[in-house]
Amino acid sequence: MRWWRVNGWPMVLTVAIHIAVVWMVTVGWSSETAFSQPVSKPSLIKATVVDLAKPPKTADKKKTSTKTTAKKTSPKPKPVPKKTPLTQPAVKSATKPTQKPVEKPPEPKPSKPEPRPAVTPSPMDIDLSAALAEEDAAREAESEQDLVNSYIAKIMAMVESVWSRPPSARNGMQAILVVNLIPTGEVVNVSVAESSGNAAFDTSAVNAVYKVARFDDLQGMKGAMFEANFRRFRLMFKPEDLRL
Amino acid sequence: MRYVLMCMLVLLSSMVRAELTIEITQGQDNPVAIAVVPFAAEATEVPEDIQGIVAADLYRSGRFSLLPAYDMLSQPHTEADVFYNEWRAVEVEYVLIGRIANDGFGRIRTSVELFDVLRQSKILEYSAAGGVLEQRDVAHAVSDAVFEKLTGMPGAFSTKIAYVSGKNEFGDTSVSYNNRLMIADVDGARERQLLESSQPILSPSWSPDATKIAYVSFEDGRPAIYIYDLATNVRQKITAFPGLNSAPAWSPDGRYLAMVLSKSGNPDIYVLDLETRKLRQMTKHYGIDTEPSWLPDGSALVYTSDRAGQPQIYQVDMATGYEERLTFDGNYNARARVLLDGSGIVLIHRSEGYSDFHIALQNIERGTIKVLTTTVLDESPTVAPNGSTVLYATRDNGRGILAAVSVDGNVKYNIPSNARDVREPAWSPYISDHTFFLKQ
Repeated sequence: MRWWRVNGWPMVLTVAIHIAVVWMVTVGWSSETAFSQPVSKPSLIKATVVDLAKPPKTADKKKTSTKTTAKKTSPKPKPVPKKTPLTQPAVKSATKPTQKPVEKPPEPKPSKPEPRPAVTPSPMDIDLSAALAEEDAAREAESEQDLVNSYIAKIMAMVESVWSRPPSARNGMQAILVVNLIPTGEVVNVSVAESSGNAAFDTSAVNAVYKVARFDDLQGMKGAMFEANFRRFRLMFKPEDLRL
Repeated sequence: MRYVLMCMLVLLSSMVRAELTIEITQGQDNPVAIAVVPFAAEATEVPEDIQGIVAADLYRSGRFSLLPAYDMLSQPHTEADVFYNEWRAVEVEYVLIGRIANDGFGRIRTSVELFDVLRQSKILEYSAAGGVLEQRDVAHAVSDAVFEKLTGMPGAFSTKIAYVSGKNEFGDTSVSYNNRLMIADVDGARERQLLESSQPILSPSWSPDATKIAYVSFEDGRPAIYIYDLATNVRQKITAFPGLNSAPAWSPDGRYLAMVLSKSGNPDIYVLDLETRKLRQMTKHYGIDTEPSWLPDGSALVYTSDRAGQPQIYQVDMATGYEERLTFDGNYNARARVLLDGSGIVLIHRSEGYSDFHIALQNIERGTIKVLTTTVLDESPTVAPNGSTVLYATRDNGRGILAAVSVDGNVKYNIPSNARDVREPAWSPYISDHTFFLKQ
């Protein structure tokens, strides 16, 4: 027992830190990837790197290669499809030449090169602007999340200031309420989603929300933010500051 | 396109977090506002101020703030007259209304209704009846019912206290009468003397069924443990071993009496089986072991020992005899009493570097000690059976008084007594039959 008294807390602490690190690594990264996924990296890389590198040479080679090596290149289909899409970006600036390479490749090998040139030009245009938009949106969402967090802090402060725990309340008890608001911040309904097992404790939590009656600070919030977060949310009551 | 993507993003983020959950981990624990509306007196004779007793009970618990009658916009006696908006306007959370009437069998019945103003609903209907002499019991029963409904723990307003009044151990000569063993309601009313002795009386302890009291008397010139039977008013000497016989403590099942004996040379903890009269020694140490008290489940005893050089609280397991030290904060911890739910220990505590003795609460799980009182020379803490309040002896203007403090430390009040000097309080267990105390 004495050994446990001396080493108990450090042990608990180290285990807790390990768990926290593992949690941060797994959960933290997964949420990041979820956000970065919509930003399509491959298209961006192609557009920037290839565009400026070989526009003049490829244009020349194409004409020669497509005409002369129609039969020769047939065993080597790989370089052809690669080059054709590469030329396209260069061609884009001058829109007239594009028509020629597009028309010609179908003759020797219509199967592979055709789908690519047809698809690539359009995604590039859109992907760039879309990626920018998505980046903006992500940034906006981030600041929006900050705003949501500040509203959460206000709600917490308001509920905590009026929550009177019954004497039977103990640290570790936990009740979850579902709170329904209307855009004025007014509480329209409170229900117990998960009871603590102590009726007086549940009642004290419900009464705390009713005592607030209206979350004034939520007034003037953007409609979309309200709908997404605060129309209906869960309040978890879990005291940690009691004496027992 | 931009709009669609943004919508998708919002949808995605909301899906990631599901429903927003806000966690509340702190509170203010302010008293809950309640209005006890003056009851309608329809009975021919109401010997006690029922509504006043109920209001005082609730107030003393420290959990409620009472709306003064002059702030009430109306004083309803029936559900139909309760207008929630009215009560909401004066910021009251609960309203208690009641009627007192003759029930036709020679008894007086008090019927109460409790309303939740915030949720606009009736949450309790309760009635109790009694004879003319039982009206204080009726009032306390109403308080108990209301308290339990609102706090989730049973009320302890219907319980009793035992205590000793008269000459104290300091040789106080201002007291003209001898030592008396007394019992009274927890609010100090209906004081009654059980016995009187010219020699000291110490350590009263209630049996779990509240029909007997064990105590220590020096009436033979040296200490002996007696049991006083409240039903028959007969007392019986239990132990009179050579040396010390002190600090009796009844086990939760009523079969055993833990005590301190020094028949083997120095004070140790013993347990006496009241049926077989077999004695079992629980501690064997050359230090002083004293003040035993049972864990609520009877599985172990906590006691005070100075084996480490200064008084600290230890625990001895009934089955294995394994001993363990429980307190490590402060240079003096004694007279431990365990809360009924096992969550904490109430004890006398002196912090390192201080000279005052205070009542303190140790959280068993966390090991933290919180001092509850600001008075000095606090003694003999005893805990209400519901664990909400601690009664203790302290000194006020040179005289011994009984005081109470809520377990959260927020409420403190003194218990009135007619006696000059009061000490050694013992809070009774729950009492099942109140007429038992009226028969004598």
